[in-house]
Amino acid sequence: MKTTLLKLYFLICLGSVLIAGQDFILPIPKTLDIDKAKSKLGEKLFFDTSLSKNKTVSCFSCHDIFANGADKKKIAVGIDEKKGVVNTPTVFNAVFNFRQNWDGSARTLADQASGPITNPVEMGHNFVELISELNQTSYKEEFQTIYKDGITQKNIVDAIAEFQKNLITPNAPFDKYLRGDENAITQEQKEGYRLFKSKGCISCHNGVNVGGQLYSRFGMVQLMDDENLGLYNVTKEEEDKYYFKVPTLRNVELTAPYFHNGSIETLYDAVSIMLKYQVGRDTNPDEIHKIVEFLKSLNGESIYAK
Amino acid sequence: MLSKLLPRLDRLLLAIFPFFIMLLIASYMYVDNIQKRNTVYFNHNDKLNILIELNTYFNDFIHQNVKFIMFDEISSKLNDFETTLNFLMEDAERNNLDYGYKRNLKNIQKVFLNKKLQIERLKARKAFVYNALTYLLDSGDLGYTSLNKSLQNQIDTIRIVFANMLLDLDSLDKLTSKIDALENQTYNNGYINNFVKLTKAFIGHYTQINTTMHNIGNIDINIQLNGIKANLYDISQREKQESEYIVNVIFLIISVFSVLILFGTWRLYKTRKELVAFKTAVENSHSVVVMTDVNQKITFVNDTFEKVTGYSAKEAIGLKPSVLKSGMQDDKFYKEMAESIFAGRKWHGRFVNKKKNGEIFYEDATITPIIMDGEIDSYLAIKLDVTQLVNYSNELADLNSGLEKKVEDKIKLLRQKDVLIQQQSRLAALGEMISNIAHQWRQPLSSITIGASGIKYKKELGILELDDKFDKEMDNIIAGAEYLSQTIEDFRNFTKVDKSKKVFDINETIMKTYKIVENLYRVNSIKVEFDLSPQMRYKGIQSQFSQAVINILNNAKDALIAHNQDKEGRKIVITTVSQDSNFIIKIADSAGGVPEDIISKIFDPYFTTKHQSQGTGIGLFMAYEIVKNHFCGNIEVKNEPMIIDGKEYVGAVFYVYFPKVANNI
Repeated sequence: MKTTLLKLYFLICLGSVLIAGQDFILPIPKTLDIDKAKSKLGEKLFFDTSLSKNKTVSCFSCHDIFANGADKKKIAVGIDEKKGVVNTPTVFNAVFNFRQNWDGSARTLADQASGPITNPVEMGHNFVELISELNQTSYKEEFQTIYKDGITQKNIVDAIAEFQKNLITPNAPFDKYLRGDENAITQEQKEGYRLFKSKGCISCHNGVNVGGQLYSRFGMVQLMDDENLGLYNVTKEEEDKYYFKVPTLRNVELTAPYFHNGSIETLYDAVSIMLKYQVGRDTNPDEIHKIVEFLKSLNGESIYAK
Repeated sequence: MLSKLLPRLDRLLLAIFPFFIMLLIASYMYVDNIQKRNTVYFNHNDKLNILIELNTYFNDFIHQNVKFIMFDEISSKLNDFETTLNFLMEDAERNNLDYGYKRNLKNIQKVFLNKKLQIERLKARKAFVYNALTYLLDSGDLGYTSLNKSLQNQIDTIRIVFANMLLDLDSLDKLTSKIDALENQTYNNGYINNFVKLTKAFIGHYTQINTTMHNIGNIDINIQLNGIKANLYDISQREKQESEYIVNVIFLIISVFSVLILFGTWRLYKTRKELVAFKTAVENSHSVVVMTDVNQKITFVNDTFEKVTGYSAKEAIGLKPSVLKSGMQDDKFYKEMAESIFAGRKWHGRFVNKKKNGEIFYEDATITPIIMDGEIDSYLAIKLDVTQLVNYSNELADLNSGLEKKVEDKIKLLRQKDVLIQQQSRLAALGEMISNIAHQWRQPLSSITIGASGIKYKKELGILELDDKFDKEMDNIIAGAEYLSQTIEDFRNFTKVDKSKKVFDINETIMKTYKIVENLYRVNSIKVEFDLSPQMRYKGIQSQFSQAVINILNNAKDALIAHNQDKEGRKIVITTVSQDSNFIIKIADSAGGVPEDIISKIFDPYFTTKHQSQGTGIGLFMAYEIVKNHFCGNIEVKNEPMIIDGKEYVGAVFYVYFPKVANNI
């Protein structure tokens, strides 16, 4: 009697959660408030290879905003063909993430932008030299019209971050569906969404960015890879080992290879691994397939990528 | 005393007026600042409430058991908390809030950062636990339904332990032991394997959650936040009281100032009224009013100035009054004036000024220096155009001098007339005397004629005998001739105009004088009596004396002839007497006296009671003049009774006083 009642209680909780009109995923807003002047300056800097030491690498080099906002490589490559540590995450919708970088080492977009510039395996430069270089160019006046104190590290990354607010991908078919267009996605995709929820993927991949709001262990049920220590690198706390930022699933169809080490090539494989190691659920290929279809409906429109 | 104090008060008010303005500005700024500070405190209080709200949310998240969570909200709320807290800290710094408050905020921040970290850890674990639970408790799962009954029961038992655990009825250890037992049974079943793996993961993460929650449990931000709120409230109250006190003081000062200003305004109004009254008077005055500044530059002129001088106010203002100088007055005049007014003294004088058109005019001016607070502030001139007056005065002067000359001439003329009249009267008197003489001569002449012709007759008859009778007849003729000669001598004496002062005998002179006119009296039955005191010797012009006596006698004679028809009552008594300081000659008559209404006029020139052809009115006047001016004496007339043969008559008595002092006899 007691057990049945309890079961009933939990099922009701579960059911009510699934049936009630609670939000799981929110559509991306069509536009954000952007300072146009700063954004224009940031755009210029984004494409400018002179931010790197040997003037060969710009932000754009790894974050191809005309394609998927990232590259096709397993691990990022910087100046002089120096190999990085992790797979390049997409800049698309990065503005919605609660932290930047796989290990959450950057609080905001502006914080993140400093990293590659000074990272020896990425752009390998330093701000002191960079600022004096930029002051020899037309950048000096451009900065001074916007920023009282001219070219500083803070202002450089502020401009770049402001530009990145442009890099959102609204109007994904699934967003249209969320907005009420029943025909925006296929039946299979709707099924995939239901499975996405019932399997529990939704418990971490939710919100406006379908993820990007918390750290999770790379394999909550079972550890998948012990090479990269993730959040531990930042906090040095034992319990933070192997915790990484949950990535966004928006445009995930385009951003292979997957995971922080770029170890998985296909979306199908990625979903299978997640279900096994992260959620710990049995699934059959058909279900996985449907979930993959659903994920494909998360590709949005960018003002750059056509 | 008050009136002395008031000007001082004005100056005092003026001096502290800028301070008053500054005080007003300062108090406005102070009140504004108080408001700002109030706003700051309110703001902080609101923000602290927000923090409490957020923290409650976090606590809910932390403590809730099984729930789906969309993490966007938590992330944004965590950001909000951080932003709000940062704002509070910056704002507290900016507005110089209490040091203790700022320190408390810092503490909160430290604690919060720790809490945030723990929350981050909870996110994935809670999500996983929720996930796992939904799967583990799902009886509809195919894997479960394909199990045999006993395995199902085992699974169910473990599920109950899950449920109990979540209700704190069973412990995690129980679950652990149960799942270990299941694992040890090593069933080669996919579902069971998965179940075990998942449950073990669940236990791991659930333990972690408990540890984290234990860590967080010691962090009670809400109590700290409420404490800060109370602290803030105390601080703001304290400040409020302080400011209230200051505001009261300011209000008091402002009230005092307002009273003073009101008083000043009332005084101003009063002064304005006075000013209006005076202005009106000045504008409408018939006098010219000019005001200059301390450097004698004209600052104001009234309408009358414009009319009189021909300069308009506009032209005049800024000029010096010296523009009216005619040049007809010397520098000394102006210098004197300047000295007087520069020294602060009023000056009064007459200007000879020049109008704009060149016309000369006269002004009687009073120039007053106006002294304010011990220094000369301006000069006020009030002037009256006296040109007309001066012209009249000049005319008058001319007239006067002309008149004087005329009068002089007239007097000369009159004097000449007088002399003439005197001469005439003298001639008249002489005339009378001559007729008297003629009278007197008649008898002796006739006796001479008779005698001589008798002798001649006798001779012709041849009967002339040179005997004693002949001698007697010849003596008669000689006596008669001598008498004639004597009369002429007397007459000559009288007519002699001997102007030298000699000593003469009064009585003698009177007798001689009477002798000349004696006949007239005899003819008119006028008895003349003499009562003469001896030794009346006097020094003076004898002819004048006798003239005076004659005039009075004649007057008496005429009066008797006119008045006394009864010839018996005609009498004149002449008395002379020597008194202490005077010789007195009294000439009394019985002619009825002088009527009262004319008695004071009889000595006036040209006054007469006689007909014009008979009297000139000069006689008594001359007598009076002679006695008064020549002899320095006096004549009086009184009416007194006279007794003649026992009968009483009324008559006039002339008392003539000759002072002895002038004489040295």
